Amino acid sequence: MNIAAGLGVTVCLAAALTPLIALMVFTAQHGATLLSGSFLTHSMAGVGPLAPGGGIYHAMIGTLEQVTLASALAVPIGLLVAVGITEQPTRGLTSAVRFLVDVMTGIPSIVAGLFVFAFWVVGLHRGFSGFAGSLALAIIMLPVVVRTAEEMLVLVPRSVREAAWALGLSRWRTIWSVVIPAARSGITTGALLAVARVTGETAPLLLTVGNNSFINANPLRGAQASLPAFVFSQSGSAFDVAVRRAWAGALVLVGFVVVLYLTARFLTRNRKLG
Amino acid sequence: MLRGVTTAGGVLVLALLCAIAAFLVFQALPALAHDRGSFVTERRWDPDGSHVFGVAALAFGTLLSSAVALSVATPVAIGAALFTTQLASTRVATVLAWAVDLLAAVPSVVYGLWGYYFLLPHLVGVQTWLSGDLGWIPLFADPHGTAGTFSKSVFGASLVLAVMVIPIVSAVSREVLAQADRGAYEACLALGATRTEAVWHAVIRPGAPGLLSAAMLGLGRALGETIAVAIVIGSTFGIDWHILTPGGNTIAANIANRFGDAGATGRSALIASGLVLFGMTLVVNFVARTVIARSGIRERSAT
Amino acid sequence: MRKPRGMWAVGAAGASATALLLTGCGSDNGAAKTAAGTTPVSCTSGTVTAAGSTFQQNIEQQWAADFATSCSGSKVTYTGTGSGAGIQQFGAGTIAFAGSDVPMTTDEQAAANRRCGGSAVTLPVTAGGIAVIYHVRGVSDLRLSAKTLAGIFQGTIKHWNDAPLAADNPGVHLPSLPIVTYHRADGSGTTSVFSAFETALSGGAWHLGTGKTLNWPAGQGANGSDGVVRGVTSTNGSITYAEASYAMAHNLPTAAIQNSSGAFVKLTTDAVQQAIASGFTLASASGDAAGALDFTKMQAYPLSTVSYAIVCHHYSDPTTDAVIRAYLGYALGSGQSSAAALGYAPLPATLVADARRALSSSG
Repeated sequence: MNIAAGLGVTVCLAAALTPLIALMVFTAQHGATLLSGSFLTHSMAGVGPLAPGGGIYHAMIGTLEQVTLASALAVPIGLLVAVGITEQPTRGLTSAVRFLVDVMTGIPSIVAGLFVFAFWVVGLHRGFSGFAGSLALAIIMLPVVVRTAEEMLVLVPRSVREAAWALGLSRWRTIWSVVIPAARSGITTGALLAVARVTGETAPLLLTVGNNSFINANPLRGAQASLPAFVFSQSGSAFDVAVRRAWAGALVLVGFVVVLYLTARFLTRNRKLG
Repeated sequence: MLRGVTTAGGVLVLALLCAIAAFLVFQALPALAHDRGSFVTERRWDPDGSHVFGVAALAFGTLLSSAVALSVATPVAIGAALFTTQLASTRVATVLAWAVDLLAAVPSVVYGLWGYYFLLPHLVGVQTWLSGDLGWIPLFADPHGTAGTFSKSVFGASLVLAVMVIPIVSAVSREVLAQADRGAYEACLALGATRTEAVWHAVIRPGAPGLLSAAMLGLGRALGETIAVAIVIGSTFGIDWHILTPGGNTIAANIANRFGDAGATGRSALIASGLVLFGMTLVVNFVARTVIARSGIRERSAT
Repeated sequence: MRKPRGMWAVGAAGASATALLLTGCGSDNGAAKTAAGTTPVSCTSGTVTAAGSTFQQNIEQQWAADFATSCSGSKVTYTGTGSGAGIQQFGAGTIAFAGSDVPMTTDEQAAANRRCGGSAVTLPVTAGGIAVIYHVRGVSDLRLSAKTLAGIFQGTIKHWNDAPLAADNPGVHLPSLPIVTYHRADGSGTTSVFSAFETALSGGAWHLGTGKTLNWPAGQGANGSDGVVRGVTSTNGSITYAEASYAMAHNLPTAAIQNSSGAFVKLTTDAVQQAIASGFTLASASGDAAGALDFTKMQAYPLSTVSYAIVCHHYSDPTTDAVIRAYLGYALGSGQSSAAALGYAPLPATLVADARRALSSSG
């Protein structure tokens, strides 16, 4: 019985890891040939659909700025909301927030983009900008951050909080210095999953950031490029040069998230006491 | 002060979510007013032409593909989480856990293209086996004889969705299982339980609500996935339980497919279908939360 | 607890790497490469964002690239998001001009006029043919009439050696493979032209109507032209319709289509140009250069169409106005010579004149 269970669980792990390896190999096979210093430091200015050359510099800057701003918005607010509903439950507000957050975990990303397009881009006449994209991405990230942070905070045993209170710490101090650090690894997981999820989103970006073949490093004004939009616009092309660029862009996108993930994991790893 | 700040956060999120919901309803109404067919039962989708459109086929496909995806992904993900928390040593476990999480790093368009170029051709053998040996199950029956050929079906799309959902279910499950009470586990062993029994009673059962939440998060991802499904699924508007037959469509994939060239009524109709998707997510999550609450296994707040 | 110093070091490294990235060790490929034409281009600096039809995206991107190299400082970006999305965004004011495969509806025109604070003008910028691409091992010179095509795509003709196909292709050995059709699952101007062609020339055999999306009774759907072509390359015995560039780029055989005078004509640049010259008529004599396609009048290759740009007659922002006029001036001028290499056809001279007139007429 033990052996069967152990075997079953091992098979599950293998089943989870096999597609990962297949995907990474597949992406690398298609994208690695084009990766070069030149590709990473040039934009698509002056490069037509038939021409080789060009690069993703403009897209990398765009994605970096958009994802950073989105995380800066979604993670603190999400964490705050999760703290609110687990540590300070207020009868009506908590259930309402939980209810709506649940619903929003299933939102197709294009809807978040439409919302920001209607209100910010058009309604407030701000036009395309990297920041508008960040808003859309933050909307997609928020429910995931809240949900996972909520799960993680609830898992911290009550005894930990009670011990802190017994030692005279205020409620806020307990949450900030004891509970959140205890749930740190789980909260990081949630934040990272949310970031990984939105980094590859295309549809909301096309509606809010637009696209740009040239470098625009200002996220507050004007359309920007982004890696997902780059991959999207190059991958549908009939011409092989463009499709190869798309794959190289996809490889960089995956690499970016992997590096981000590993760095964040490394920085917040839990040292289990005892 | 704490109360003030967190209340402000909660109110902000509430306001945002209500604004989005209101916005969507407002955008969806024009199409619903123009619909010449019944929005709920009509299978065809032609909002800009004949104004006959409905979500029947789309909703069916969404539910079917998500159900199949979750039924494959949940055991695999929880199994992987069990492996890394119970079987592996700390260092190896950490590395393996991170590896599974990296499945989330892959953008959806890459999943779609990988699914199309790599997975679908390799599925032909599996399809033949399923329709042959397991063909007596209606789900796997093959009435059109297409199982032996390359086909863009609900089956292929569900498998791609399953792979996309695994990292989130696994990551959350892992955290839940890792928080299991070591004392209870050791007590079970001391009482003579086998390792499997101890894990079941002291780790999995108490963690069941958390595991269910993990599955719900995965479901949310599966329901809303657009590009990957759009590339791999057959995009037809029919209601067919046979998942191996070419065809199938989901609400989100339809939005991805049709949005770019839709006119005003078309866009409005697509948003209306998005609202249906919301409704589905709502019902499923509500049921899950009720189950968790009813089970009473654990307290939902820390105070 | 571990000393936090290690963490700070890693954090600092990450921050400096990011800073390096942001302070631009990269560049817009600056130096002027060989410019595509010899006509002097009036140059102005400015950034313009455009979007719309995927049908014309290749040539728009080529024009944008050539325009940028001969005119450094002018930055035009065109993204193929779909005609509907392009028109919507133009009406909302988020893009400077839109690309569309079909002229605007009355409501859309009204919204566009409001956005422009005057009138929005529709003008053709390029012509192109739709290729019927097939993959049947052993067959390389297929001829198809509109009626046979209707049967194939509606699922009534099921095998490659069925009678109607044999009748169109006397003397050609066709295998008994089942026919697998791939159609566009997403909204597409290509579908719209294909269905309009079928409605006009199939003699009543086509029952699916006209539109960007259709209720296909048979066949498999795929997303985008690349999707349908991908399907065809993976399946022996399959057929689809897509922009000519896809057939050209992948070296896939295209069928010779029968026009209204009975001749089977292959898709070539000249054939398309001839078709547009004979089959396109302006819708109104004033202002606009939008028009209608009459497939029964098209000589040479009948599955041909034009694609439009939708611009404001006058922009309130002088930079945008100048850049767009210069860009379109280039596109309608020496830019037309880029068409053939990309699978399009240059517009007939009369259409270019009409387009220029629409752009410059007062009012």
